[in-house]
Amino acid sequence: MYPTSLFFDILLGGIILGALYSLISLGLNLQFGVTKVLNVAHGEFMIIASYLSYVFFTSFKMDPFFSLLIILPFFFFIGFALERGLFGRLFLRLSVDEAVSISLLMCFGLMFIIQNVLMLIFGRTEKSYEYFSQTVDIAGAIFPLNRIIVGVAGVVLNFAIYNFLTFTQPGRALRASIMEPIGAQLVGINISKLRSYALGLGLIASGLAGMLISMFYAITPYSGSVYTIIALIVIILGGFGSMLGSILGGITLGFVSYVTMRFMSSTLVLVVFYAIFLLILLIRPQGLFRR
Amino acid sequence: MRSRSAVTKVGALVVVVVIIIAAIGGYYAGTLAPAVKEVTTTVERTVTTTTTLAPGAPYTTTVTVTAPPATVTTTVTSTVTTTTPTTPTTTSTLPPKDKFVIGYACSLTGAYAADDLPKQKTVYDILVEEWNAKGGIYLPEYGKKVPIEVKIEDAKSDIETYIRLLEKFITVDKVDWLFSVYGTAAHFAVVPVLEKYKYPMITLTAMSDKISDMIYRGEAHYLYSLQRNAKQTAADVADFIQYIVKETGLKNIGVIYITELFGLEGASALRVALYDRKLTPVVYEGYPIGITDLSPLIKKLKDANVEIFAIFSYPGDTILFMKQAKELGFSPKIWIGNMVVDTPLVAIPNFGKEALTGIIIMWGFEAYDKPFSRDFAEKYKARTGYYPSPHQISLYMAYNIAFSLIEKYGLNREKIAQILWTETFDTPLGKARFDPERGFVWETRGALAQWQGGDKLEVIWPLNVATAKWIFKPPWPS
Repeated sequence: MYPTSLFFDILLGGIILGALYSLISLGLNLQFGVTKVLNVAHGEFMIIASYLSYVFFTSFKMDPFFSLLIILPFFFFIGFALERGLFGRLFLRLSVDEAVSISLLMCFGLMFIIQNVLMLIFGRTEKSYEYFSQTVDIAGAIFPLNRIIVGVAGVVLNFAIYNFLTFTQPGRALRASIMEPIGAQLVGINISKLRSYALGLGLIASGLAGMLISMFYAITPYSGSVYTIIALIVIILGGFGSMLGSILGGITLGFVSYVTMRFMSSTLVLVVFYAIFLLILLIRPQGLFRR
Repeated sequence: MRSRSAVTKVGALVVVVVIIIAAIGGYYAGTLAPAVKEVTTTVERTVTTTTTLAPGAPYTTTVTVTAPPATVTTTVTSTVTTTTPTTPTTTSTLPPKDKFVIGYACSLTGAYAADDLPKQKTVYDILVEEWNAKGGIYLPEYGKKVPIEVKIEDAKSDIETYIRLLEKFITVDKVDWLFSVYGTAAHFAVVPVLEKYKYPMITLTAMSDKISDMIYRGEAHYLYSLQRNAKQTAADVADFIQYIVKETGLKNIGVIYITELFGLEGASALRVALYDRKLTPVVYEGYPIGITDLSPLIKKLKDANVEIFAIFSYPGDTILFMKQAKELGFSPKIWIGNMVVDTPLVAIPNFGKEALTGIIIMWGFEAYDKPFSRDFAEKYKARTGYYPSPHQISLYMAYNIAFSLIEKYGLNREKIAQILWTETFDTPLGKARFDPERGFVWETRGALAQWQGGDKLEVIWPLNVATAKWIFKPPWPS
């Protein structure tokens, strides 16, 4: 491979993977930042979205992007309902520390429930569909078109979510409740209401990521946990509660992952992931991008 | 005088102990072994009592031994009960039995599920149904046939769970037999359980040099792999590659593998086997379990212009690799794989016959051209909609042999385990036997099979047992 095409291959490969990782971690970070619920079933929610895209595409010939019109409101509603019916009540009745621990256990429970329900409905074998799988040559770097779409969509969605959180009133309120929960309440932000929106928005991000991965990965009911782990590593890299950290952390990890596989060995990807994870915890436990 | 008397007393005591042990041992041996009309008791070669009993008659055996200066009398009482006069059965100490229970730790969920269920469970289902349709399995201890019942539990593709489930099956559920677990690593892990409780396990999904070594060292008496070990498989694959290089001039070889026992052993054995044949892979690389993106590795293979490609993979990553290879247009002329592509029930729905064409699998044991294989293949197809893989036929045959041994030797699993290693069996496919390295072997067994556009895989290697000539893999269908 020529140096220019290799350069473009790494640049695009890193951006595609990074944009996806960012989107995956953004949802989890938002949920945890505002609600203090460490949703370890995050990956499973993504997989629900992947299965829905799969069903809409294979059974109704519906474009995956078009299926978002159904998936996203549905996910927002689930997040909203979970916070109102489950986690919110917990945080009202118990101390924060107790509620954090118990909500974590609840999320583990949710994870197993989702996995098994998906298994009952869709079976155990991998499901996938072909969506724009023809290849595109960009300056000698070859990528399937669906990856380019995922990369572009990932960048646009990350940008949109970041702008929403930075420049809109509800977004600012969400960030304020992450950074200064007590101060936010003092200036009139209704934290209890915001918690429900945060979980709903977090699940919307999972839904988007789930739809995107269904376009080029095969899915099983058990595929989700890998993405939860990736999201956690990205969040630790970027900093808990830092949305910009999630985006930059995701892109960093995407590049590291792609370069490791391209120049070193695929075997080393997880080793590098966990090495970064440990290094960040040792050197900068608050994350690279959190002030 | 005193010391002489002491010696005599000790001698007498030894004789007493020996006689008691012999008598008790004889009694238990009598209750376990198939009952016969004659009851013979032998003590220290000096006293022999022979009694002929009518079926149903209670009997008492009294053995009197005089060993100066002591006199010992041992009395054993039992009852002969039988249903037929020719083969009376002693049931006084046997627990009642109305079914033959098989424990099956199956990966109903998790990474192995996609392959375990179609590869093993479908075969076991047919097997059990067939035997139950014949009235069940005959247990000579009980002198009757009992239905087979399979107790299945989800091992969740987790090795620790496999171990715990097997121990539970054996110690709590008291199962009579075990169906195999899934995957090389899981088999390696359950060997100590099989050894501890002396339960034989015949399996299709273990391919390991380490397990062969354990068998040779006497540490794994109870595991019978139908597969060749990694070294033997690699030798067959390397022979084929050498032949292809010589015949076609293709030279760039790529080998990739999952970093799990199966992949590590298989790929490294292949590298050594290729080296022995003066061939060196241009790409030799592993990837971890749970990987979500293999496209950088595929690009490496493409950049290296790999023409002969071998992959040691597990179900999830096989599907991911095939999908991404197709997208990126990586289509080497020779493609040798294993999991998923070896089982039509999984391969055809996932990839379609056109995309599978040209793909070779590492275990093309049996062709479908013999009556036995054909019958089983049709039964399997009627049940699942697809033909079995060539090595599933060997699984079906091996379990039929094991069940026949149970009908002969009953629940004496140790005896059956010994016979499985030592005897050659007359099978519908010829004389077959278990070998620690070569697995379950019979004269016409193949080594590699290939998809050639049809519903079934064709055996292509070795050439003398091939059912079709090998073909190049065509480019992926658009």
